[in-house]
Parts: sequence; C-alpha cells; structure tokens
Amino acid sequence: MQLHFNLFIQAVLSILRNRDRSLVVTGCLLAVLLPFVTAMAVSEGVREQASLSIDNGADLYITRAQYGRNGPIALDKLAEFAEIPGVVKAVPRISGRTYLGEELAVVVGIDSVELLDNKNKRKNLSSGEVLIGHALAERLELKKGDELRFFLFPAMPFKIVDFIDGDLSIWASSLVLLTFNDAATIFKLPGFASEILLYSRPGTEANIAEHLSSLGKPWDMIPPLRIQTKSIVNQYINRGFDLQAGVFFLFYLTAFALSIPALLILSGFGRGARRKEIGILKATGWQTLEVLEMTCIENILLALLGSMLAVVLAMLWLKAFNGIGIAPLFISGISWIPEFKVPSLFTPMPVLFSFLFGIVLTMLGTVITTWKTAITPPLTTMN
Amino acid sequence: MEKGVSGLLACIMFLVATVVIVLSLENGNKQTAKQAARQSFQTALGGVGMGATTVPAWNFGDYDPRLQPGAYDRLYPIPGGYSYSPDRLTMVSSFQVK
Repeated sequence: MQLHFNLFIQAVLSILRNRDRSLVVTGCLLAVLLPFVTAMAVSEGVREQASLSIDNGADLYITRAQYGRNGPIALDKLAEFAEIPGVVKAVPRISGRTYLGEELAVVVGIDSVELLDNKNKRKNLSSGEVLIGHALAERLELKKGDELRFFLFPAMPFKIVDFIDGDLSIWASSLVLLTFNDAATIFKLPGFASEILLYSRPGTEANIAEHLSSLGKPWDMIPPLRIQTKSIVNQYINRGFDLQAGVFFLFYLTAFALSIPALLILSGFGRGARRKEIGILKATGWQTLEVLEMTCIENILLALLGSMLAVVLAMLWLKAFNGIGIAPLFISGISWIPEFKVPSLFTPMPVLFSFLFGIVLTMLGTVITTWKTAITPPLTTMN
Repeated sequence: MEKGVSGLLACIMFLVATVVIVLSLENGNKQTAKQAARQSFQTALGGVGMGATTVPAWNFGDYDPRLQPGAYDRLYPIPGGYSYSPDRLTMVSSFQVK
C-alpha cells in the first residue's frame, strides 16, 4: 500500500515538475471538452423544458387537416368533443403568428390565464389586456401599462398588464398572451379556434382518439380532423432528440481532430527530459511496472483535472454568465447576450464521457512510449 | 507532503466536489419554486413550445410541431448532423429568418 501511495505522490510531483507539459495537456482537454459539455447541458435544458411543455399540456390537440397543414376548427364541435367518454374538459385555443411593430410574435389566445391583481387576488385576463414576453417587450421598448396594436388588427388597442418572466420558458420570450375572443378578433376568425385542447382521464387517450377518428362520414365535405395525442407529441421529442444523437459523432470527430496536437505533444513534448527521467528511475532500481503505474496515475490525474475543469467552466459559463456568446449557437432567435435565462441541465453522462475521453487521450499518448523507454537499458535512455 | 502536491490535490478535489454537488442538485427530485412556476405556466397555456428556437420564423414547425407539422429532428439544439427529415435539404447548416 505504501508503495502505491509513494507512486501516487511521485505522479503528482511529476505533473508539477513537467509544468509546461501538464498545462498544454490540460489546455487541450479543456478546448475539446468545454464546447461538448456546454452543448450537452443546453440540449438537456431545452429537452427538460420541452418535456414540461408536453407533460403539463393537453392530452389531445384537435385541428382540421387542410391541404396537409393544420387548419382552424369550428367552435360548434366543442360541446360534442366534451361529451366523448373520458374527456374531462375541452378548451379552445388560438395560437398564431403576427407582427408587432417589426417583430414577429407568437400570439396565444386562451381563457385559462390567471393574474394576480394589486391585492394579490387571482383574476382572469380581461378583454383588451395582454401579457407579453419580457424579451419581446424589451425589443419593442414597451413598458407595463403601455398600449400596443397588432399589425393584423390595428384598430384594436391592447394594454400590457404584465410581462411574462423569461425564466418560465424560452418560448415565452416572443409570446403575447390574450383572451380567446380577443385573439379570434385580431386574427379575424370569430367562431374558430386554431386547436381544441382535450383533457382526458388517465388511460382514455387512445379511445378518445379512436372515437374522434370515427366522427363524420367519408362523404362529408368537411376537412378531416388532425388528432395529436400526448404520446404522439412525446414521440416528436424522443425522435427529434434521439435521432440527432448523430451529432455526437460530429462532436467526437471534431474532438479527436483537435486531440491530435495533444497526442503529439504528449508523445513528443518534453520527450527528451522524460526519457532521461525514466532512465534515472530505472537506474535507481524502479521496476518497469512501477514506472508504468506512476505514468497511469499521472494521466488519470491530468484527465480528472482537465475534464472537471471543463465541466466547472461550462457550469460557470451557463449558470453564472447565462451562456453569453454561446447560447445563440444552440437556440435560434436569441441575441449573443441572452435576454432570458438560458436553459441548461448538467447530467452525469457527459461528465463521465469527458473523464473517460481524457483518460483515453492521455493514455494513448504516453503509455506505449513510456513502456518502450522503460524496457530500454537506462544507460541508453540517459544518453 | 510538499506544498505543491497538497495544493494540486486540493484543487482537483475541489473541482470534483463542485461537479458532484451541482450534478446532485440538478438531478435531484426536489421540486423548486421555479419548476412549479414553469409547470403552472405551461398548464395555463395548454403547452406551448418544444423546439430550439424562440421565434416563429416562417412557420411553427421548429417552434412547436403541435402547432404545425414540422421536422422533428429540428427540435434538438445542437446544429449539424445528418438530416433525417425528407423536407430538409441542408446537411450541416440552416439559417433562420425572423
């Protein structure tokens, strides 16, 4: 045990003695791993928010399929849908897109939005009132209490009663929330919803979808319903996020390409001094296995230092500095200095990958050369 | 033990401890007030947003495939990679227009 402890101390001393080499190796690992860890954290953050959106959304989304696209659905179907066995409630919603000034905004009209008034009592959003995403309001230089008009219906003024906190969701940044009827007015489609949200009892989702599919007759001259269940929507996320796992290869290819200089440095940088050092160790009675063990410990410590430093810097970059300069590479539509909290979630897997990658890289660069040097007679090595 | 040795080991241990603490805080089951607020926001809206964009550029496909059929491989925030969607022509890059 004492022997291994001594080898461990010698490995640490070797890192400190070969300071330039250690700094270059740690720097290379950092350059390779920092973008990778940061990207994975942002991805997981967006994925987490997307899952929240699905889990807390409706169980079924009903629209009309028009020319292969989603089309509006008449509200006269609302009562019929609400009576389907298993349906708890049917809520009409309008989600559309229009210009506010020169900015594109997502407009959502729904009647379930509650506000806290001056006395902290809950009240529903009233007609003529809107909630606006903080980032959008900043871009349009709008303040609470200001009036805004939509490009589609400029005759109707709306009062900004509050901002939507940017931390709630990244998709809230360009969102404008208003009542259902107001949204129907500005989109000039009264009596229609862009989708009807159905909330169902657990386990009834598939039956309701089947029931909805059987509504109407094939000869009815009405476009068919487009039904999306929560499980289908979950598949979007799983397919979308998992299929793009091919990006891993891209990152690793880049990582390996960048690692080549690190490998060269590891096997070449300070090689002469290193050879002499190993020669002296062998001449003073060290066994080849002991030299190799010390080198392995040294590599593990360097990999640990490089990978953990990359993770900590990624955490600082995203949590403390809100991904300044990197967030727009992953989330489109935001500026280099994000106006809202950039989502990020650090999971154990990328951290483990980073550490293993560091070990593989440092071991590849040193173990074989160290072994070759250690089996050479010390006199030859020292010369 | 030499001062440099203990300094380097302390530095590595500090980094590992920081990573472990942040990972356990991030992946714990404890629901924060922020998470509860996010849930109630999405509940009130009936669920809006899924993709890695904050603007409804051109259509809603990237923003939320529930609102308009779109390529689900666009949901992942990391750019690049092979396009799995037949309605996408770009291989490693694409551009967004506001």
